[in-house]
Amino acid sequence: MAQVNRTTSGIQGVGGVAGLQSLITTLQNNMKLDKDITASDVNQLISAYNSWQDHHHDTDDLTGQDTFGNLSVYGAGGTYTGSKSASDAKNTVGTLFSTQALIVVLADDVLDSDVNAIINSINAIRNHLHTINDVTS
Amino acid sequence: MAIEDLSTVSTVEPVVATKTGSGGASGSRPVSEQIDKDTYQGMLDILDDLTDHTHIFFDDYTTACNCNCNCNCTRGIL
Repeated sequence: MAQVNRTTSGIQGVGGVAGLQSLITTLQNNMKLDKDITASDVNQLISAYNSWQDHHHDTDDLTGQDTFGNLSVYGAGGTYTGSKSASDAKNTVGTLFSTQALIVVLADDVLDSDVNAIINSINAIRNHLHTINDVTS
Repeated sequence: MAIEDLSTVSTVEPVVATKTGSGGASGSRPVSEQIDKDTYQGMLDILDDLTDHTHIFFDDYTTACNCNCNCNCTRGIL
């Protein structure tokens, strides 16, 4: 089957990349103040992670294309589905595999298990996948 | 079938991956160790690097060849 490689959009559905980037920048700047890391800092990191892990991507999905002949089956340029709209995005590119929102730390004391959960989750997203519904006809 | 190539995703070595200690296995954070700024910063860096990632999508599609050509000459229709 014919195939074309395409690059998806950047992350979508996280309340805006700019907002997420702003939160991360704020946390990074907090660390430059040489302050102790508190439960609040950890919770803000969890919030940033939870926002990030809910993202998806948009992409075009080419279903068919005319290759020869004078009769148009798919029309000029082929036929696409899953255009770059928010409503199509979840169908075109699914949600993340194997990720769950982290639970915000309630107490002032941040347990080792809390920290390890964050570390494991954030490490895992370096190799995350999405499910793409590739329509081919 | 769509297959994804994650080569465009930045990879960041976590700070914790280089740590070993008496309280934890190799490559993990020792149980008794408090979260330090390097660890926290490392996690922030991963999130930061991944805010603008994309994926490569191998998009399968059907091809169509459909002819119904007419010859505009006296010998008829092909």
